Amino acid sequence: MMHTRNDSPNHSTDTARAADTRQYVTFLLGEQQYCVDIMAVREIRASNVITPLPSAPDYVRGVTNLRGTIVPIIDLRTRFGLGRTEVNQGVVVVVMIGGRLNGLLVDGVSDILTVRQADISPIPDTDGDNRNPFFEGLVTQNDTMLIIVALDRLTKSQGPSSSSASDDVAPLVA
Amino acid sequence: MDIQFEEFKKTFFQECDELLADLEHQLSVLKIDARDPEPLHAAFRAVHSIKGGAGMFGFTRLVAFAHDFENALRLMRSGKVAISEAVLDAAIQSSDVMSDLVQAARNDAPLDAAHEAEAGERLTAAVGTERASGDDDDDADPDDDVAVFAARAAPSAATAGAQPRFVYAIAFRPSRQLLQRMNEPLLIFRHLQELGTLAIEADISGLPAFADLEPLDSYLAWSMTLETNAAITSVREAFEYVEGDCELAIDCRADRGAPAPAPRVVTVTATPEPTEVGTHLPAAPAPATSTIGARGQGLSSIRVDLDRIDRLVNMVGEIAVSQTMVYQHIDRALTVSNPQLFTELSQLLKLTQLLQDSVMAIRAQPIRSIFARMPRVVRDLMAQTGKTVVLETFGEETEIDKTLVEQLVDPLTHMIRNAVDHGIEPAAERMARGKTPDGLICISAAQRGSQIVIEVSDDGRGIDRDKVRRKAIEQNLIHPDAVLSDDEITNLLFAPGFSTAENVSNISGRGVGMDVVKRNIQKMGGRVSLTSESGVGSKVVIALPLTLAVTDGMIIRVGRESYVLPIASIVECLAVSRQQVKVVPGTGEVLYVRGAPIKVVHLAQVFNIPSAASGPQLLVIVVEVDDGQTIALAVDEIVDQQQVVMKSVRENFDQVAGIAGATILGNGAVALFLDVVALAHMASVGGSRRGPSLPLRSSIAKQVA
Repeated sequence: MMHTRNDSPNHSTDTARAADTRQYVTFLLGEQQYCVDIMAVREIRASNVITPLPSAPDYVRGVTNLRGTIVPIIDLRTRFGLGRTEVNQGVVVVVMIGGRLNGLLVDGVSDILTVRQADISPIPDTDGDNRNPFFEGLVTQNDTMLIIVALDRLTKSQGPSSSSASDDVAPLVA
Repeated sequence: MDIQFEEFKKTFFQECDELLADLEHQLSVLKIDARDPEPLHAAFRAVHSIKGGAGMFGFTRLVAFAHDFENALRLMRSGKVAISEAVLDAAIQSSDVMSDLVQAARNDAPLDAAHEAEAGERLTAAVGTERASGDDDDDADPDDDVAVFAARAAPSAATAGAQPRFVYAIAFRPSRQLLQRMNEPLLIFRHLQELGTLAIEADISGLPAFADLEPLDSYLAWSMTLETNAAITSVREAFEYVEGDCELAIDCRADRGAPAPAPRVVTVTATPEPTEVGTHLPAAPAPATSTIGARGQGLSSIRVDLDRIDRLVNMVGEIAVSQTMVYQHIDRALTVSNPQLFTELSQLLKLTQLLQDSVMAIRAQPIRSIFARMPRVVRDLMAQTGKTVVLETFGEETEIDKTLVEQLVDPLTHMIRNAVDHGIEPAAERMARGKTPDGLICISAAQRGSQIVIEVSDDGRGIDRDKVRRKAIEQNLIHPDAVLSDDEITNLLFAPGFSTAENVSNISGRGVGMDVVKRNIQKMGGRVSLTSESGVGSKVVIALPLTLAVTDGMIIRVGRESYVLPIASIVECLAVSRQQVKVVPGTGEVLYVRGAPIKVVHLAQVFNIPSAASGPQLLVIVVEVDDGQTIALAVDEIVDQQQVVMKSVRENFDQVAGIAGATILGNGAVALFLDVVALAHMASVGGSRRGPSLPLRSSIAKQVA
């Protein structure tokens, strides 16, 4: 692959362009739009009955039945330190994180977005304490700002420092 | 090619396992002076097949031993050697040795060079003795090998007295890959040659130019004429391994009719080994080949990974659940107004049920394969103890999950050991008690509802309760003042650490106690109990689930949450007054059940969920945790009892303390499966904050399992 790229400049531009764009599934939490890498998304479904798991962190709302597989449901709103999502109205985005299936509880799924890598800007470091560890970057589309969610960090035991999370969630500094 | 070869080898060893199991089974049903030749035939076939495969892979030791064994079996079934006790013992020993040799070959493990010598000599000696004392029907009585050799050399001479009955025209055109699949036409020709006079003509028209020749492909075809007394099935048998890998046509050109004398008698001594037809039964027609036919048609099976079946079982379970949900959601009114829909739904329901049953049946296996090993165990025990025991088995055709079959062998063997060693009295003692001198042990299996019930009973002396009680007090298992029912005392035998030490013999008391039996059975999701009447006998009853894929669960409720408990771990459910629960300062709550303290674990507390129960009554479920101790789980409500399919939570989430897994209820919701062992531990840890926790006292007195 390497030498192909060197030998043929035309090819290299194509490859670069393909590698440069990614697709994201966008969804809503309140008024804010978020998005996750489409490659991780397995399916989108209406939320059904969630069975709470004892002694699980507060952002894990419980487990649900996905055609016979037991899948944990992460309340993204709680994970981001923004309160709790109403299960009955929610939508679940089933994503694969590190080989495990997880359901992300959100308010609604809106679109699929193709974004060039270059258009992704880092989270501005306005106030070190308030930087949310689950945000990977920002994209602006038609005057709307979308936050790209860092999936691999969602299931790690860490929480936003601004959150009033329970003691199940270890502080970010740790 | 190497990989392919390894695959072949793997298959060979898998087949060996089955053949060895079959061999052992056949030998065990073989009775002294038996009339039914079938077990011997089957044993012979098993040894023969192992020999054949071993030869292909170059396991020379195995081949040599199998060859001798085969010869001995050949003599036995030809009636030249009477089946005596000594012969039978030697044959059983030989089957063990052969199993060792197979294992050694499989693991490439060195085996003592003289390992098979003793068994071989014993077999030869036993066969030799029997043969010498046996009837001398063969005048010349040549060495069997010589006879075989002679038959091979001059098959036509052996049958010269009469014209062979049949003339077959055989057209045989192998596929190109025949040789690569490790088949050898030459072996087929030799086989046919043993049946009679064979004329072969090769058709070399398929040969390509030398440059195009693929050395591993087969290009030749043959047409043959065979004059023989063998039936067409015997002829076809020669092609058994290449069928489907060739074009084959066998035509019977002539049938000269059955020669005298009366041919039907021959069926009794039917032997699929054709060489002997010539030597022993000249001019006789082909042996009846019903056994061969049965082998060809009856045993068509394929090997499938258990994983795949499990996946299928899982999916079918989901279909059943989904369908129940659909059924529940369809408006009653809709089905009333649309009878057609109702009929179709019922049909679908029935089909799904059938599908589920069929899928479960894939895993099922007759329990015969374990029962068949037990006569062997009893024989060995009889030899060691000098007692005479008759073993009766019932319900061998009862089917049970394959994985359970394998796990049942040890517990069953152990119980039979106990029965022979402790239960059955010596003959003199039995006579004195007015019993028959021979002891009787019955093992039976039957399906009762969703359970398989296996019983092992003996007519021995029963359990000496006074002694059990004394021992239990000595070993600090029960309080000296404890008031126990007869059943409770009997079941003390299952208590961990319980041993009637003075009774230790070579056979039982070797460290594996009844507690291990109980634990193994529980691991399978089953229950075991023991009843005994002094002087009359004992009976152990094992109840097992039909399949491992489904567990009997009790659905309980705490607050708004439902949980599932494995029924197998539940000892009893009690409604007690809250006043009966005592708080032990610094440790926790304790409930006295029939005089013994049991730790109380409030599920609501452990899981930190609001409990709705208040009232003067407390509902507790006494469950047994792994080490034979019990805890009392306080719950709000017992909802239901149903079969559940256990699912993993850990597949997609971390281990949750106190939760063993999850299951999907009929309404599609997930209910968590409780891990009682972890719960007991969690409660202990919780208590330790305030001080040392109360040791979970062994309370076997309540295990009226």
